[in-house]
Amino acid sequence: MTDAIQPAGRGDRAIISVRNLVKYFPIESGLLRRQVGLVKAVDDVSFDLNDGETLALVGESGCGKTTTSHCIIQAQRPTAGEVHFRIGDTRPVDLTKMEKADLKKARRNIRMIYQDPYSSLNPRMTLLQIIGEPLKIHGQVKSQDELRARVSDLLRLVRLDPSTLNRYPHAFSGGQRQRIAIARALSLSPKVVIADEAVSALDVSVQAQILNLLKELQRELGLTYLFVAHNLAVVKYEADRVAVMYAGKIVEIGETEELYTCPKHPYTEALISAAPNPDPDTKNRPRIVLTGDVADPGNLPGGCSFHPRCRYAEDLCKQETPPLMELSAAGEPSHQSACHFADRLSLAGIGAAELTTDRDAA
Amino acid sequence: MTQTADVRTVQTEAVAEQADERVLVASQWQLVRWRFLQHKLAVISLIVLGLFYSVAIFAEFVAPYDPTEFREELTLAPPHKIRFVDPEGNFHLRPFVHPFEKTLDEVTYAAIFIEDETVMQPLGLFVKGDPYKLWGLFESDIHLFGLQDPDARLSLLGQDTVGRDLFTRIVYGSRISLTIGLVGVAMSFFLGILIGGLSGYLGGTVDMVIQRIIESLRALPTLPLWMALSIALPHDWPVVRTYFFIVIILSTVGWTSIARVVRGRFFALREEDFVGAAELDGASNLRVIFRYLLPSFMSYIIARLTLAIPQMILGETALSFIGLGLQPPAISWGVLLNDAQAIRVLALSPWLLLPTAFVVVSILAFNFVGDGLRDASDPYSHV
Repeated sequence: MTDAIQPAGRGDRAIISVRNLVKYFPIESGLLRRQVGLVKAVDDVSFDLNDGETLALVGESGCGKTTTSHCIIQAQRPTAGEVHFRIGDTRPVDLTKMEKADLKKARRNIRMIYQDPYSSLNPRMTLLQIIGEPLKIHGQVKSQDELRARVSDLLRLVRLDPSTLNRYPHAFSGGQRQRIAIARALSLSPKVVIADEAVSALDVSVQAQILNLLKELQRELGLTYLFVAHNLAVVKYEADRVAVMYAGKIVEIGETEELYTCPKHPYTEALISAAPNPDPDTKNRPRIVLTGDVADPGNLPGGCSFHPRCRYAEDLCKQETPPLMELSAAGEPSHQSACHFADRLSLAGIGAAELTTDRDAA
Repeated sequence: MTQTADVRTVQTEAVAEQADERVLVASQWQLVRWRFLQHKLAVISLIVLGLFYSVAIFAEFVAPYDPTEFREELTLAPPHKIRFVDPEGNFHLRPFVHPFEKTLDEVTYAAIFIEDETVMQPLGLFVKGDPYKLWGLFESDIHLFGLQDPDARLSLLGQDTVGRDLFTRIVYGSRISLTIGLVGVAMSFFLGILIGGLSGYLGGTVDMVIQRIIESLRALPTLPLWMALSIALPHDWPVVRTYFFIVIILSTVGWTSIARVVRGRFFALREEDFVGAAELDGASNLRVIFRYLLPSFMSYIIARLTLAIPQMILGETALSFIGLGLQPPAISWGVLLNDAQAIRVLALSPWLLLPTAFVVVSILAFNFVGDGLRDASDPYSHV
């Protein structure tokens, strides 16, 4: 199954290559903490994050998208697998094998934005302290004056008034707080920013502002984003490529437009049909309502994890786990799906017209 | 780029709405202080406590007499009436008392104290009296107040069973009674944060063992535990050493609740995103603990501690009252109350129970201050 994906280090544009990433959590019970099971939060995930692109990781709650992002930055150590990180033409390094000191250096280039801006900023610190903290820890500033200057620049970068740097987070709204979090993430001039549901906790109107800001910053600073989200409308606007996760596995990955107009996995089809559609002209597209709950990663069904909820499932699906397979011809942009019948099923996406109207609207 | 322009206007509006710049740049402690000052009862209690502690610090100066000096003829003399009007009906700006004259009841042979209205003994500030050494350093014989005649005795709150001045002894007793709470709580605080912090930070087996120990300690009823431990203290120990060990005994249970709180807070805070973010920033463990974890719950811990002090004061008072805590010649409120155990006292010399009033007032004050601090300790809950 990995044949289809280029081996680590050979992907020309890959800044991060995730290979066979696995994260299991043991289920323990009783006084002696006997292990009675495994939660397969991330189960054999491989993908490339290309330099300068935005890759969205989407899926339902509990599908392992956040765990994947945490395993990339080594906030949680993966059970198995490799995460290769490369800047420019240097040799890729495997983050999973790194010691704490080296990891500290690598993390200067991979930064994280959290979902909840109310919990991710220390209420006991001023903006100057919050945003300046990474600069201080990494010894990037010599004096307090330099720190103030750098933090002011960062505040300007995220379109906040630099005169507010002595304020505490409680003085700011959710959207403003998320800007502060972005400023902190950018303080060390990183290459990659992992945005873990960075706009999910915000009002819709504020979401648009933050998304625009992220796009502008990407253009200005040449950032690469790994965008973890469950909102397909947000992803459609933001992402170049999309990886759909279900029960700890990537079930489909491809260019955003291709994946939205022409999905190759029944789960992707269901997700797309569930996304609210603001355009009255195309309102009548069929809605696929999934039955049952999302698969329990502690007790996965055999075969394809999605088969109990899949309306196209056949006997084969219950027995064999489908590998992630390349569907597009050589030379075309890659589009992979993990479905036995990916090339046979004709699945409904959204019309190309709808996609462009949405983009314009956003 | 019209979108960016929109963003900017939205923000300037938002900033303009939040007009009070003072609140915006206020640190956590400033917010706590503002909230606390709104709690009137807590502020008054804080002033009362401040008064009590200054009295304890300057006990030698504030107390009009030496706490051990006794006047046999004044045994169990009642409190004086402080007067402004003399028997002839003349008003005096300077308050005065009539000295007691002791007679015996011819039937019961009980001592009767009658005020001798022919003699007036005026009160005064900064009067000369028994010599003392403040904190063992500064020799003096000036007292804050007293009778101007150094040989006369002002019985402000009555005299005790051997003719020592009760007010003086209450003032000296406050030294031990009020500090035992602070020292005890400081010890509980230290043990609690250390052990609770270890438990919360390391987790796993260490956490389980510590939690079981805490549970066992808490399952023991405190008073019998204290009694058992204090009986083990040799009776010929000097006062200071006994005091120190009583504190340790009181802290054996006190630290457990604080350790639990600290552990819980550690667990909760480690899940907070800002702690995770700090770890990703490259902050070391110590930096995370001291810059992120501890400041986040320090205010709450302080509120908890304030509420724990009365427990310590009561513990000392209770132990001393039943004769297992401090022993004379040490002076504490509990030791003073030990004198008041006899029924005869209740019937004939009720003023010997007055130390109770000081215990009650100081404990209420601590509780109100603790309440105020607890309400104020999380200034973000309402912002």
